[in-house]
Amino acid sequence: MASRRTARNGRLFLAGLLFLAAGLALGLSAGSVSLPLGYVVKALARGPSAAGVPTGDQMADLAGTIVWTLRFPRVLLAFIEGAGLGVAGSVMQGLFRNPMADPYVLGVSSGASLGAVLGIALGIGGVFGVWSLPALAFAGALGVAALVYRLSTYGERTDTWTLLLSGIAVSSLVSSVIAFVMVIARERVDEIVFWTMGALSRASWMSVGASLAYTIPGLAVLQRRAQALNALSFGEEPAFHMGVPVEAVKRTLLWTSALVIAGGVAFTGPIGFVGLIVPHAVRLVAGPDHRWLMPLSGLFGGNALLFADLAARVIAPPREIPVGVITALAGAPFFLYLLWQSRRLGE
Amino acid sequence: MTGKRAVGSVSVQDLRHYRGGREILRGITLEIEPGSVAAVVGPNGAGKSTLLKVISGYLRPRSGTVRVGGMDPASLHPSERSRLVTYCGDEPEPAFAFSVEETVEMGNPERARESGPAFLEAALDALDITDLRYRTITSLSSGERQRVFLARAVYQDPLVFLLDEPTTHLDMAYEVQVVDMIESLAGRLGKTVVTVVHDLNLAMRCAARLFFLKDGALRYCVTPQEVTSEIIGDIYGVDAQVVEHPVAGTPVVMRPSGRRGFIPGE
Repeated sequence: MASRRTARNGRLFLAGLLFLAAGLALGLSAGSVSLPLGYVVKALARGPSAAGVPTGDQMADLAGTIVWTLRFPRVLLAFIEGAGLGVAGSVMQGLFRNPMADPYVLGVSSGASLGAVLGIALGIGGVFGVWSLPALAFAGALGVAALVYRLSTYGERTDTWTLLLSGIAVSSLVSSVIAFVMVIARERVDEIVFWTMGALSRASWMSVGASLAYTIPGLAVLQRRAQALNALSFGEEPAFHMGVPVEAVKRTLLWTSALVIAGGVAFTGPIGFVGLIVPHAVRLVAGPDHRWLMPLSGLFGGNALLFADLAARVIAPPREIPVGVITALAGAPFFLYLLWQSRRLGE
Repeated sequence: MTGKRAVGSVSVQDLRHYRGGREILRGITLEIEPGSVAAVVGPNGAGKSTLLKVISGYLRPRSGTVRVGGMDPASLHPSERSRLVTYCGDEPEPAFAFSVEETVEMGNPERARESGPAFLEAALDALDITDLRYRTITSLSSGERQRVFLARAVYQDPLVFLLDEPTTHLDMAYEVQVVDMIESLAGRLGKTVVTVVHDLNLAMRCAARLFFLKDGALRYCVTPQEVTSEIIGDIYGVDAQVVEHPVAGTPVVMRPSGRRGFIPGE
């Protein structure tokens, strides 16, 4: 059984890597300007330093610029953030013992929105240059997460149900503050709405670097808790008796997930459904063992956002649809399908 | 041998525990010999499960001390504690479809990584769930699931087992099998077992000592031979008879023929 599952999940991982390769190829060549794959490969081979240097071939020059300054950071940011959402989603679902939990239960997305929206409305979106909005969004995300965490912690123990409920309450409170700000700052409503719908068009090498700095160590920390998370998914008391340091593991999982998510959301705005559906779907195929579920959710979460962003760019060129709209459009029906499927099979 | 056996003792001094302003344990003091089986019995709400959970380190007492093998489980590192003592009782409905094998192995991840399948197979066999090995835990009946959780505790392999109603969901055959398993945990492996049981006859069959709890206080600490109908009358308020088992010669409690309960509309 164990080895069968290992072999199957290994194949699933390979399939995920193939999807990733296809997603990268498509993501680099498709868009408002379609680049032949050969030019993309050549541009990649020449490296970033040669991107602005004329070669005599106009198409190659264009490809170099588009690939290195626009599309490459964009597809990377899509994959990194999708991976973070996928892993954090699988962590939250395990921790809350509930396949309906998503990475935003701590209020990270509404907090990030609040930070960014205040920045836009108060016109302080440029005080620290391009870092301003991401910094404000990041601070908002962690601030709200800290408030929710604080509200559900008594002494040493954090109550998971209180956490879920105060997450919902604080998130809706924050949403109404955002709505209020939008009414006051009417002249900036477009900018605010665009930010809160989530988009990858603001991707840059800076944002790729910054989100990698959170995501890689974060995912490593989470993966080390996979076995403890397996035990926790049986309930906190059984996990305690199995020798899991329950409160310490919970704290690490919650805060590391919040950091990973905040690091992505700060640049792109909230992107829904990826962190909810991907772990759910992966679990149906790969089983509930978090040692596999987490990396696979990361891989397929990254792929999902990569392809969603691709769709966002090519569906209605030259206009771009916010990627959050795409993930909700594709994600909600898929989620309903999964729900219907599990009901039909009698769970 | 004596050194190893001594570490499995359970000793509780003047234990008090409150929940929601109500005193659940009112100064309990008891000693349990290493390598023996003790049964905690008493009416609903007597504090039996709470006592086990306080001994396990999961609940902190308001006052009093708990020593398992001379140490306070609540102050140990969780992984050390899990090798010393475990508690096995009713669990919430499993949320995810782990296989039976995966579930049992979670009792001791280190052993699952480092040693062969022999111990796993022994644990599965002890609870007769080898056939269920590859089934998902969400597809099992409550009795099958109870045996899986017991197997997980066996696989965890601590010195002291705290079993909270280990036979509630089981049929008569498995009830006997689990009692046999408890006896061999203590008799063959030298483990200490403290178990909450509602069936007095099961308790008297497997335990060297019975601790009768009522309203959070320890009322009697007796051997099975010392159980009388007076004790049962005092604890449960029923009129039961203690007779001799026709084959084994051990004492057996006969349920009272009893008053009928009040049925609305009668």
